[in-house]
Parts: sequence; C-alpha cells; structure tokens
Amino acid sequence: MSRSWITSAAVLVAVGASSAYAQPAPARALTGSVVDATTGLPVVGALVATGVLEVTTDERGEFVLADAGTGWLDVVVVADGYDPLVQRARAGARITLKLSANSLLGGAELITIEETREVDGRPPTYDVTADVVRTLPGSGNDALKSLQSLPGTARVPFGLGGLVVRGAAPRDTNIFLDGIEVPILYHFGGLASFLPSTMIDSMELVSSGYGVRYGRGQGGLVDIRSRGGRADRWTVGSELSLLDASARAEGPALGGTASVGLRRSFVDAVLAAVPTSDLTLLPRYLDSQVRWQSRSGKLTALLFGADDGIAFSTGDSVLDARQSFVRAGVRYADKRGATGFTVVPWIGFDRTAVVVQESSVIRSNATAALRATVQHTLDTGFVAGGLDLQANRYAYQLATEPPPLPPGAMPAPTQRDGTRWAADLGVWGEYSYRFAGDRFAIQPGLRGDRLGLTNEWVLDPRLSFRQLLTPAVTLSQSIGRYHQPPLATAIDYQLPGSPLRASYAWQATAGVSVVSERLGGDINVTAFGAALRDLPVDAVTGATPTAAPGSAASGGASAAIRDLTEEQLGRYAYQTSAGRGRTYGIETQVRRRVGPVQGWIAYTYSRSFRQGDPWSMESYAPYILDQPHVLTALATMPLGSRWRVGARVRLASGNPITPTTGRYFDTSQQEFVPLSGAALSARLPLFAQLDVRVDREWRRSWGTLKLFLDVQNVSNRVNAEGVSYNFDYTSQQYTRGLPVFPSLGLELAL
Amino acid sequence: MRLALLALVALVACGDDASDPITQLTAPRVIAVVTEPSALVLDASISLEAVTVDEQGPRTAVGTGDRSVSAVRMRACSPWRVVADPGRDCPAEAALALVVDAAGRATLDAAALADAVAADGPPGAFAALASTPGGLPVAIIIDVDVDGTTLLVRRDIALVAPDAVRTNPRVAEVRVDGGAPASLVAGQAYELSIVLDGTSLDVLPDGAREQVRAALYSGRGELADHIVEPPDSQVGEVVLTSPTTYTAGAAGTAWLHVVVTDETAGMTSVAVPLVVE
Repeated sequence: MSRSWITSAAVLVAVGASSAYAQPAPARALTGSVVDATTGLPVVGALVATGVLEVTTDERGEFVLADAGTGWLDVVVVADGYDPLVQRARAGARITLKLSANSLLGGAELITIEETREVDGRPPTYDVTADVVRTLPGSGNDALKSLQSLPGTARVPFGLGGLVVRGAAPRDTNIFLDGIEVPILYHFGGLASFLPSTMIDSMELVSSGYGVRYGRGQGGLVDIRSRGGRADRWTVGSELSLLDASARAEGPALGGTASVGLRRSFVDAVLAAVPTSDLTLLPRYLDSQVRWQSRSGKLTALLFGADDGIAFSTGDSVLDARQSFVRAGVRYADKRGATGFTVVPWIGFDRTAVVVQESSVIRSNATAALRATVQHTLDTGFVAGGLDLQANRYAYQLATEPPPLPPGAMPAPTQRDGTRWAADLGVWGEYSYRFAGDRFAIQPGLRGDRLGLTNEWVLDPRLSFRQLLTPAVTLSQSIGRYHQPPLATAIDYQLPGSPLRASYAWQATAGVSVVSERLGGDINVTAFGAALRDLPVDAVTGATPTAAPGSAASGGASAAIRDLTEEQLGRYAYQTSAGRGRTYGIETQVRRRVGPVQGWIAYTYSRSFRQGDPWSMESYAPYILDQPHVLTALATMPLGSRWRVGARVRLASGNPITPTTGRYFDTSQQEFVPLSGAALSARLPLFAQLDVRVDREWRRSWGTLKLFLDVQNVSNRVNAEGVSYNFDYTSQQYTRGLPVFPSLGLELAL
Repeated sequence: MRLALLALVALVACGDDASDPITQLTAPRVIAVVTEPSALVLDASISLEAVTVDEQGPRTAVGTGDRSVSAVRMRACSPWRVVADPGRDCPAEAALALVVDAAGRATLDAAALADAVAADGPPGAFAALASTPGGLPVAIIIDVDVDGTTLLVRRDIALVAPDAVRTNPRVAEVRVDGGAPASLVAGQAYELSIVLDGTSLDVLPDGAREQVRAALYSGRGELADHIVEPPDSQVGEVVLTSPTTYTAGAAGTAWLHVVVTDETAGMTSVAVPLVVE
C-alpha cells in the first residue's frame, strides 16, 4: 500500500470528520508522539495527518499539528513497516499513537527492492529478518533452519540441523550471536535450533569470502542479531508446539529494555508416561535467554545457554548423552565523531558427556574471549582494526579403548584425562576505499592469528571488490585465505613426530546482482571456489574425515551424521594434517513478487572433493555431503489479512556413497566384510520434497494469537538417506528419510 | 548428540527376529579355517584347512566325491599392511602363496614368510613384534571354488615367540536341552549350549583365562543367536556358554556347526548331526 494512497484516504476521512465536527471556535494544536506498539520506541518519520494538515515525526517521534481544528479529530498515521492507524483525538490534547508492525501474515516482505544503493567492499550476503523466515514453509517455525533454504547450502539428511555452505563441512562455518561465538546451532537431532525465533531480530549468512573481522574458520559465517524488548511496558508471550513449549517476557528494566525466554521440550515427559517393558527413552532439550539493552542501544548484555540430554536403555544396553553450554557477554558500541568502536567481552562453558555401557567420554571447555573493533569513517570509505582474543581451558576424561594405530606405529602416549590450555590471539586491519564517483570499492584486509592448540602463527590476507555498474547492477569479487585450528578433540590422539597443524582454505568468489523494480525482484549469481590444505586425515586408513574406504561409514546417513557431530564428539582416530580438498560451483537466486505472491528460486551447482593421505588415497573423492544440484523454489502469499499460505519444493542430488562390489567372510570375526568400490563413486537417488505451511492470526484486545501448521514432506515421499545391507552384503535397501512431518504450534502475545 | 540419536535409532530398529539370518546355511559357505597348532611359532610352521559347509552338512576336500569343493587357494599377506580389501591390500603378487595338498591343507612356514615380507617392514621388527604379548597378526586369504562360485575368506593368525603357549579352544560337548543330542521333533524349540574344555583356554599375561565365543550355523531349523559366550565369571575345567534356542526344522538330518574362536587367535570347528523326526 503506497503512502500517497493512504494520505489521500486520510485526507478524505479527515475532511469528512472535520466537517461533521466543525465548530466556530478557534483552531487548537494537536501534539504527541508516535511509538512502536511492541517496543515502545519512537517511530521517526511517521506521517501524521488530520484534515488537510500533515507532518512527519521528528527524531524523537514527536509531532505538532498547529491549528489542527477543534473538538474531536480523526488522525491518520502512516509509517513504513507499520499498519496504518486511524484514531480519534480531541484538539488541544497531547496524545501517544502506537503503531503495530505490519501484520506477520499480511506484511512479511520476502523481497525488499532498493534500486539506489551505495557500494562498499563487503562481499554479498544473504540477509533475512525473523518475520520473514518465520513464514517460510519447511522450517517448522524455526528461523535458523530456514538458512538451509538459501542458495549455496546443501541439504542435510533427515532434516537435521547443520549448515553445509558451498561445499564446506558443517564445522567449518562459524556461528555468532551478537558477536558471541555459539558452539552448537541445533539441539540434539536437529529438531530445533538453540535460539527461539522470537529472540531473533535478523540473520546474515556469508557463504564465503568474508572479511578479516572474523577468523579461525575456513567455511562460511552466520551472524545472528538478537531482538530487543519493549520499552513501554512488560508483556508476555508463549509458544506451544508438538515438540516444545516456550515463554518469553519483555519490558522496561534498569533504565533500558529486558527480555527473558525459556523453552523446554516435553518429548521425554510424553514418552515417560507411555508404559514400556524394558525400554526407556528420554530425550529432552532446554534453552534459555536473558537480554538487556540500554535505552540508548549502546550497551547490551546477553546470557544464553542450552542443555540437551538423551537417555536410552533396553535392559542391558544403556546410552546416556548430555550436552550443554552457557554464554554470557556484553556488547558496547559507541561513536565519537567519525570513529566508532565496539567491544564484546564474553565468557562461556561447554560440557559434553557420553556414556555407553562401561565406556564414557566427558569433555568440558571454559572460554574467556574479547572482540574489539575500531572503525574510522573517511570520505572515501573507512579504515578499521581490531582484536579477537580467546582463551580456552579444555578438560577431558576418556574411558574408552584407544583407536587403532597405523601398522608399524609404536603406541603413542595418550593422556586419558587432564586439562589443556590454549590461547588464540587474532589481530586484524582493513581499509575500504571508494572511487570513480563512489561506483567502485576495494577492501583489502590482513589478519594474523596465533593459534594456541597448534602453537603456530598464521597470516590471512583477504581482498574484495565491488563495482556499481548501474544503479541496478553490482559486480563483486573476493579472494582470501582462511585458517582454521584443529578441534580440541583431535589433539587427544596424535602420532609422535606428526603434530596436527591448522588447516586452511583459499576462497574466491565472483558475482553479479541485479535489483530492479521493473523486474519485480532481484537476481543474484555467484561463482565460488576454494582450495583446502592440511585437512586432518585418519592416519590408519589415510582417508579424509569424510570417507574411510572399506568401512561401513563410506557414505550415506552414518557418515553425514559423523560429520555433523564431529565438533562435539570428535572423530576418535589418529589424525595427521595430510588432507586436501577443493570446491567450486555457481549459485543463482531469483526473487520475485508477482501480485500477492512472493518467493524465490535458488539453484546451486556445487562440487566438493576431498583427498586423504596421497600414500593411500591417490585421487580426490567427493565430499560426503557433495550435492551437485540443489534447487529450492519457495513461495508464500496472504489470503486476506489474517491468513497466509506457502509452499517449498526442494530437489537435490543424492549424497555420495561408496558402492559395495563384493564381500569376504572373516572367520576370525565370524562375519561378512564388504568390499568397496571407488570411494564415494556412487550416489543415492534424487531427493525431492514438498513442504507447505498455513498461518492464521487472531488479533484481540488482549493480545495476538497465531496458529501455524508447517508440514514437511507433505506427499510422504520416500527419499533415500543411506544404504543398509543384509548380513552377507548380497542385497541392499535404502534408509528412508523423513516421512510426512507436521509441526503445529500456537503463538500467544499478550 | 546427533550420533547418540543415530545410535538410538539403530538400537530401536533392532527387532526380536526369531532367528539370525547369518546362521542359516542356504548355500555353500566357508565358516572356519582351522590351524594346527593354534599359532605360527617363529622358526616353525602351521597347517591350515578351510571348513566348507552347506545346508546338507560339511563339504569334503578336493576330489573326494560329489560333495567336494573344486579348488582351494591360500596366500599369506604382509603383516606390514592393513588388509581391508584383500584384492587391493594383499594381491597375489605381493603375498606368499601357500601350497594346498590333496586333503585341502596348506602349510605356512614362518621363515618363508619372514623372507617374503622382509622388504616391507623395518629390520628386526618381525621377530620383535612376534615377542609381544599379542604376537604379530598375519592375514591369510583363502579362495574356495565350490559349485561354480568362488568364496573369499580371511583368517588372521598370530605369529608368536617360541616360548608362547597357545592352544586352540576345544569343544567338549554340544548340549540340547541339557543333555546329549537325541531325536528332535520338527517345529519344537530346544535349549542349546556349548560345553568347552576349560583347560584349552590360554592364560593371559594378567593371569586371567582368555575369553571365547561360539558362532552357530545350521542348514535346517532356526537358531535364535549367532554368537553365544560363556559368562565372565566361569572358571574351571568345564566352561558352558549361555543357552540359546534352536527350533528344529523339517524331518531329516540337520547339521549344527559350531565355530569357537578365542582371544589369542585360536579357532575350532565342530559339526553335529541332529536327527529331526
């Protein structure tokens, strides 16, 4: 709805009203303020009209309509991002007008078209707001899961969590919440992310080619920004779904705004109530968040954490796993003249404990970190620098059999329990320079890191360009090196004289972006490539972390799960830094708005390969989650003002698997052993899935109630996620993926 | 955590099938390669014999009648290479070929093996690793031609020092419902247990007796378990495995095959005919 139309309507309404209530008395002024009904914060630039008069609110949200009239007036307020407001007010009064953000169902903008853009040297990113992603079908109302619908991301088996961005392993992509590093993105099983959607303001995915401000990761980057609380009064909200229940409260506190959230799954409670003979299954997850922000917005304090557990027993078999983390940090951002700075100190504690029968692995990690950034704005760009410090204390207790040694190797001394200290120090600087009438920008940067676990210094130069060819067409390029230290779990088992080093990737991208009102959307095309070196390799098989030729984990679901859990559980193998990798591809996204229907089509052609120790793995093999073709088509549309429907179609190449070419009988073990063909040289069948979503909203005087139904794989198609064999490997069958999976939930905001 | 979930799914997926399909002999299969003595001693030799069976019972050696196998070939692999795929990691040209006699037995000489693989490993390591408590494992690859197909089999033996005491486990008795096998009734379930000679179980360096496990196979009827083991606490001259269930099949002679393996690479195979009425 355009502002001019609203203005005309306002004028008509106001004229009629003023005629009806016309009085001969002198006209009086109408003053007041316009605020966000949710946050209580002032709305700047809102159009306030009555009769033939109209003004816009100032930077404090205030307005003055002099000579507005007499008696009762109809006041119309219009502001971008908010529903129009018509309210009666008596002339001469001071009023507060509260605007409601655009309806979640009717106003979510998947596409924002801005034809006039400034160019800077940053690489292109995919930005999404929480209101948008919460309406996307197939995400189960989970904002972070919607990242998997973006271009360049591969599909993860069974709908589990995890981000495979441009062929990089999940652990290669770092996640930050308000500048604080997050150890896990999803609760166990990937059923839900660690942060409820209601706590998210926006997210940014940088698939590759990010600048020097972030380091110690050779894949992509996800930057999540949390949402602030209301400033005017305390409100509560809750959400109830088939999996969990959550509650949230927010309001003014301590001179600023505060919000508190808590979510817990109740799957364990339901299962505990079901009588079973000797089977006990108790999975659960819990997360909580506390956020406070000063009135000025300069200071933010954040405390968040998660606790997952699963207990399983069948009489003589017992499995008990628990994983938890907590983070506490403060973010202070200010600006003095042309110089701005940000400081984010934070501390954290992680703990993972897995007990299977008499074996157990218990790990913990205490972290203290500081991120500091200073940026000075210039006429032609900016210059910036910063620190990225992190100190870790790793503690571990390993009550397991050591992994097998390479043939001929002498047993290495292995510490079964102890602590390990490691301090990472990162220093960076970058310069952004615009030229040729601000149509071109170049941004060189340099980052140095001292990595504590491997006791080495590394240097990462990075460079990006952008060219604004026309107001609608932008070109971008980037190249840079990205170092990543090995996991603390990989240090447990090392061969003497062969210490692990940090692995690294050379990344390069080139893209074009076209944004046009005439197109009704935008088109983004990006080509990417990366060369990976010094990847950790299994010292026994010589395989990369992604494939162990000859093993049962040569592809399919079990290998994918192993990659998704590596960061938490480790790989349980002697490793050396002898692996290599390469990725390349091109991704395309076309976003359009046609009438009330809006959505996008994203197609990615991506190849990702790994090579283990050249002594035993002579050539490259596909990465375990290499999916050459991934197509996602997504559309949503409002039905009236309170309904919204949407659908998502996904097609993706099947994950690679190692074919079984024969078998032998091992008399010592009394079992058949498969013989494998070329590593990961076959593929599972094409993956196809249709998801649908329906939302309905009720607005009442006491609050808002929203109902959503998100159904994944609505056609109940049987997709293959892995392969299993009979006892002698003479026949195979596919492991079925996610069946039809509904997510039904209610959101209540009071 | 997702790994835990996967393990959970796998555990839940394991149902209570009436029988384990690996126990059912529907085609010729080599279930054991027995040796004498139990381990290959430095400066000595060891004989190896493949045990081939099918649903009608044991197959006989080459050239001994209708139920004989067509050919048997054996080769010893270099102990310095991990053998995951015999064709790739232990090709015939890189292994020590063993001569198989008319009775289907082959003899491996430790000195000949040391000469054949000397170039692969570090000097002196052959004897040094043989003197370690576990000895030096050596993979034997066996090809058995039978009924027009070739069965590929692997057996790991241990190369040990001359003073090492290694004995193959001995099966004293197979008990059906607590006693010697008698005539069985088709379709009826019986309790089955394996009695082992406790004196045949080696004593480990820590003084404990080695663990054993028995694998069960049958051409007729159904076996509830593939592997049975004695409880840990058993000590004595007679060791009894945990009981399992055998459900008799159709009338006739049903062969029950038992392969017992121990912790020190010993192996024994026995075949017991069961009469089903």
